[in-house]
Amino acid sequence: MRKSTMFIRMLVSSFQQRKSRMLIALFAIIVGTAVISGLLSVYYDINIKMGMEFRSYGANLILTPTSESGDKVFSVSTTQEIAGVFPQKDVVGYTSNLYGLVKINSRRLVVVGTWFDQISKITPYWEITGTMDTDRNASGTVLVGKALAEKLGYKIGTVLPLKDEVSGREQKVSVTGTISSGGTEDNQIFINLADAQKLFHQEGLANAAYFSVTGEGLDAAASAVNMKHPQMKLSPIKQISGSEAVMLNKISSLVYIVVVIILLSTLLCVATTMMTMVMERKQEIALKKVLGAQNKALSLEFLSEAGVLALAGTLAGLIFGYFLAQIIGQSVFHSAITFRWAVVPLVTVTALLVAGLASLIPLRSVIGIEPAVVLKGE
Amino acid sequence: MFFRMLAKAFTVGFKGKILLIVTIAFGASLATAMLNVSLDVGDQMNRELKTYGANLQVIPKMDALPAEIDGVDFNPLADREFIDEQELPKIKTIFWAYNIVAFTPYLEASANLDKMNHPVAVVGTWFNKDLDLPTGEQINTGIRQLKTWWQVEGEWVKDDDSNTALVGTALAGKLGLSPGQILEVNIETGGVSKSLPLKVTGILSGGGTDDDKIFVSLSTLQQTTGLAGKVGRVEVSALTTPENELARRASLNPERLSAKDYETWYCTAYVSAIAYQIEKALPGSEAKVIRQVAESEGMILTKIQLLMFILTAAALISSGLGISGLMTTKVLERSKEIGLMKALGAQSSEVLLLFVMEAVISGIAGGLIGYGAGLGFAHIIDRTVFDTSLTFKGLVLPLVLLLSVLLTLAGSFSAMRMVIRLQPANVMRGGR
Repeated sequence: MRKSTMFIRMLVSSFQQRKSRMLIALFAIIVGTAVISGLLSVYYDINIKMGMEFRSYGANLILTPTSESGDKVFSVSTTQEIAGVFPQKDVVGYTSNLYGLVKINSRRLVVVGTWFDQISKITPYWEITGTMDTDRNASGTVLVGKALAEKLGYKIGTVLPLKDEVSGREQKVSVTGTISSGGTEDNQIFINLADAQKLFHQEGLANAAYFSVTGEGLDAAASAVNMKHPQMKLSPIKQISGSEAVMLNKISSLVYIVVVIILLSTLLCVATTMMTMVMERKQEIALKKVLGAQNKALSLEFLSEAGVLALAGTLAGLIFGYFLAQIIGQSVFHSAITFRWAVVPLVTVTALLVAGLASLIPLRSVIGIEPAVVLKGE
Repeated sequence: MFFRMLAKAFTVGFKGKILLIVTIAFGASLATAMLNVSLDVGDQMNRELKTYGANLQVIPKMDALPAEIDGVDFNPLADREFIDEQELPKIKTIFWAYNIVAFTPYLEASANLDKMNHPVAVVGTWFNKDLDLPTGEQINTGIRQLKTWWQVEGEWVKDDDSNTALVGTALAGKLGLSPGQILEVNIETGGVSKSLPLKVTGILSGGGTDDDKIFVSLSTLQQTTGLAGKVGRVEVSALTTPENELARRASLNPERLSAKDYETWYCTAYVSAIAYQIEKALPGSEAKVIRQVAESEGMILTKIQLLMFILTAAALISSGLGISGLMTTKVLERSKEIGLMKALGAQSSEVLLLFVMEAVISGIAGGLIGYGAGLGFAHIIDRTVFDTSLTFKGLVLPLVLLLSVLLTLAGSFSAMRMVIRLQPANVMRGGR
């Protein structure tokens, strides 16, 4: 009993007497664990966060009727149904498009019926000047492609008489804005889907649907949908989805290797600080040996000190690490990083191991010496 | 005497210095690796992002308005303009020529097939063309370099082949085609329909509207349509710098910029600057920025650079604190020695100078070792992640040395204040 009280007294006094040195070691451990837990949290989240950023490329899935079905159109309700296959939080947006040809002053132009409210999600890269009516029930407004507007002299406010080539139906619409994409969209006219359906006499129908979905397993999800809807073909847009997979791989392996190198260096820094601390206590160790301390008891004492330091440091370090992860998340991705609880045991065990090893290694070399050699001076 | 003491500190006290130098070296290696990688990450990622394909499209300036759905032009009678094929090598002679990764021309026609009830797009292009530049160099470019996500089952079409074709997988499915079979298409040119027999060499899966098209060599389509030496449009993939406010102002009208701004803009690899230079190189053409690729690319690059910058900062702070902490311990450990020196009549300033010199020497030694190790780390990163070898950056060595010396000094700072205040008698009698 007396032995353990003595042990605790020694431990407590060791912290009290050597406050500044202990604080430095504690500080090193706090910084180390904060960096480790923060960066690990960031690493675990990087695919989700970057996947979201990659949605700036727009849609990565396209839905069309299969070539075997012979149809060129399908019901818009199918789009909604298929969007429901993916977890709600992964679906950034989806839209149904209906294409048709119209004549304006005997000139043939392509009209695309779409949902205006989805434009900012499916084609976030468009440069839009003017305004657009994002109400799906709104009628009579169009966005025109930039090249088309320039060549035909259309401006905001111009009224266009759209006339369907096949049915001869006509609708007057006014231009509310122009869009620029650098692709074929620059030569097209965009109209509300409901208007297009009326104009082309295709109520409730669409030619293609585009989905912008994050997360992995798009190919698997697509083939599941294709099994369930034999009339439809949902396929990943390879330019976007294939390249994204390659890029995400690169980025996560970059972050992985960088995090590993930072972790190694941080751990080594913590270890050297702990080692210095033990080395400088040569005299104390020698004295204790002279007074009859066993090697085992000495190891236990130093290990307990390291353990207390490591635990206290880890606790503070995890808190700082959480904030570090949030700072990185907010400044780079403008969103919070989920703190992984799996990090807690990992960091605690690492801190204990490093602190323990870092005090044991120098202790080994000190413990073997003759106390008299150390105590007599240099 | 001073130098003898300094030398002694590193010879007799060498063992005690090992740990310090090792720690500084670890910190410095971390700084070296991170600086090397993050200075480069923009360029490296930029090259990787080229997998998204072209970010520029060159079209004839006075082109008629195509009414295109799924690659089929419903305005075939409109007066189309063309770009001369022999002008194309000039794209590789612009100021930012080395940033042009790949480009390929397209000539499009619509064709009728026996079994199909609607027209199909036939596209003539370069697949993997050896091109002689005006500068005497030879480059290799074409759609294979541009659309890296394309997968072909069977053989690719060769550029000097005539009457061979790649058929999109969706179209091949409809027609029941497989490699080796013959496909007869009727190409409409100027109101006349011309029959063109094609041998299918491969089935193309491109995941998009390309799956419904037929691709042939450029010369095949030029001959059939009677448009020898003409191309309809060109897609260009270029390495670019993310756009900023200057680039946005320039894209409205470059001529309106001040002379100095114009020069900065022209000599920076903004996508708008490259488009402008291509327009100048190919008279009568208009280079348009494909915003889906160009705009998103800029976003992603900015994010990655920011992320790496923050990771570098975290690494520097962490290694800096590690070094400082150790330095403080080291000085504290020597309070007895300081007491003795002071008792023997040394001025505080002299003791300080000795310590500063020691710190500087340790900082430089650790910094040098760490720089070497850090280059190794950076090399590993570049190898595993980007498959490229490390490019040497002169800036990093002085920066790392300066950092490690500064951090070592900063670390000993609080301990040094203590040195000045230290009462010899207090330390010598065994207290602190």
